[in-house]
Amino acid sequence: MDDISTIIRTGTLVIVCGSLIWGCAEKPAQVTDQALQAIQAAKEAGAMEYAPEELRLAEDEYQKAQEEITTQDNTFVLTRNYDGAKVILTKVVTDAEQAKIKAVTNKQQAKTGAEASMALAKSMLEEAKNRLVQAPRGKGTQADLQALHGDLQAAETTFAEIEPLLAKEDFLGVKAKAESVLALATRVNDQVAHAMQKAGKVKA
Amino acid sequence: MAEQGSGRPLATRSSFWLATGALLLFLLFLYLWLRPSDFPQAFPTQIEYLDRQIWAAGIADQFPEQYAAFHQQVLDLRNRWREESRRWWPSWTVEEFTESYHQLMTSGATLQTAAGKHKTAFRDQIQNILKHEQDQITRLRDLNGLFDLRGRQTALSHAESLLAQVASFLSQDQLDHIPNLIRQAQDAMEPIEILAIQQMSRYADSQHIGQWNRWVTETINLSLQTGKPVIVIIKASQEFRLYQKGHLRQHFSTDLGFSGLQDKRYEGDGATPEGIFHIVQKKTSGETKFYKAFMLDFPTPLHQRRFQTAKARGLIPVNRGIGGLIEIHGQPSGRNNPTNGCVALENSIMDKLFPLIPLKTPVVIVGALDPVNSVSTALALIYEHYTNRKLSPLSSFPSFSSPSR
Repeated sequence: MDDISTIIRTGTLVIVCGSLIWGCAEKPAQVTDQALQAIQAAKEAGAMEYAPEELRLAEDEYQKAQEEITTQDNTFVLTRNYDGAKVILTKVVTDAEQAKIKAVTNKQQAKTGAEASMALAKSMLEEAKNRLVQAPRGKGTQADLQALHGDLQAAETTFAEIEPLLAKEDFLGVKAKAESVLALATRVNDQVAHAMQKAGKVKA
Repeated sequence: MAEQGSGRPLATRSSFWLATGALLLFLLFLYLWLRPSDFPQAFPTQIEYLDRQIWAAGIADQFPEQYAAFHQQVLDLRNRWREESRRWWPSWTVEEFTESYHQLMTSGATLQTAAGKHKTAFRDQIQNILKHEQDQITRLRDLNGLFDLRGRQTALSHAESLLAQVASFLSQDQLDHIPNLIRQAQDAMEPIEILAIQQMSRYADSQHIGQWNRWVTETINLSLQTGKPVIVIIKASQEFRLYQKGHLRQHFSTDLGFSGLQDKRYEGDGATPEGIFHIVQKKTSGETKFYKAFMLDFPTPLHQRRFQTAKARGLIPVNRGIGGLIEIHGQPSGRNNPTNGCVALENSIMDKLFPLIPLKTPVVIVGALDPVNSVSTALALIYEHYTNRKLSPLSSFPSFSSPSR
């Protein structure tokens, strides 16, 4: 029977010690920091603007991990376990990195698109300026010329507003303004071409 | 032996039962701890996904209260799941959890659908506004050559540029910039609309129409009585009519001054004068730079008196005279070629008319003869759009901020 008592005592001791070791698990501080840094890096890469859904996923997961940590903090010490929180936080790091990658890609695409629109608008504006100088003049063309000068002036004013937007990396705004410049400059070009054709300066 | 032997078995039996009890307790503990929970092992991600979808669609900005309530319900359900799934004796059945989950999914989907419809309605509204504002610009632009847009062309072009930006943002699904841009475009257009309405209202005014009709009737009657030709020029339809013996013989399209719908007030205003005039000189090639011309007796004494009165009231710019040299003259090309105030006809028409029209022929220039004319119709559309916009200002637009902002 001594043997049985010894076995029971030893078993109890092993269970208690094991539980204590298991129960004394530490909070996942390191992976929490990594998750926060990853989210911050995504934000700095422009994820709020260019990958908002992905960033929101990472932030939601982070909140979920914090809820899990709070739940474990309120659990009996011997049964406390932060493994679930660690798994979620690891996912936060992955999601935030994905958000960062997508933000960088989307931002670059937006920038490229905006710069292309701007370049096209600029070249069309220059063409419109040159064409307007050559536009036929006469008593009867005064009102038409004034209309075209109005278009050109509005196009130039709008074009001047593009640079500050580009500096602020508001690429969607750049694209919108560039497209409006393009529309006005194209009309000037078309109407001058039509007027020149009508006046016989250019063959049909 | 029995007494000696009975002490040890009793102690042994107690230890045995104690150990057995402890073991059973431990096993019970182990079972409760390790038994599979009826609750889902992980919180269903579909509801979180739906939450993110709703947020990404900008619904948090459109319906902040409804979204906040929904989001809080998702968080509450998740917390409840976490608590219940850890309890040895959950106070909530799986069925109850599942029912709550499905109810939340349904309310989320309803919110998403409502917001989707709202967004579609908003987009349709913007498309509609965009079309109407662009039509208004087209109407105002079409007046170029009849209505003085000098110094206002840039504002009109600026409005058009802003509307083009609206179209661009709409195509990029960036709706939050749009209301402000539309307001700016409308602000740029409004002074031009007001001016157009002020200047064109005469064409829908029965008193003016009556006066113009009287002038024309008197002149045609004169032609009927004398058998001589008379000319009637109707600005609204940009029409030149030649009457002989009181009957319409020929009619042609004309061009007027670049502010031709206006009655002439001073030199350089681009307006074509209204009234009863007479041809005082017939100019052939060499006498005019416009091929051939019929010179009118503008300003008449009536126009001079009116000019002096207006000048005395400070309604005429200081350095401006009354103007003159108003002619019916030729021009090489077709229509839509505004003059500085004269009436222009194609050279070939001038050739036809020149031998038919003697000196002193009466020329009546009027705005319109019918209250329903091209100008009053255009005015009605401009005015209708202007007043409709005033009745439904953009401040009633819903917010459509993108999620990141």
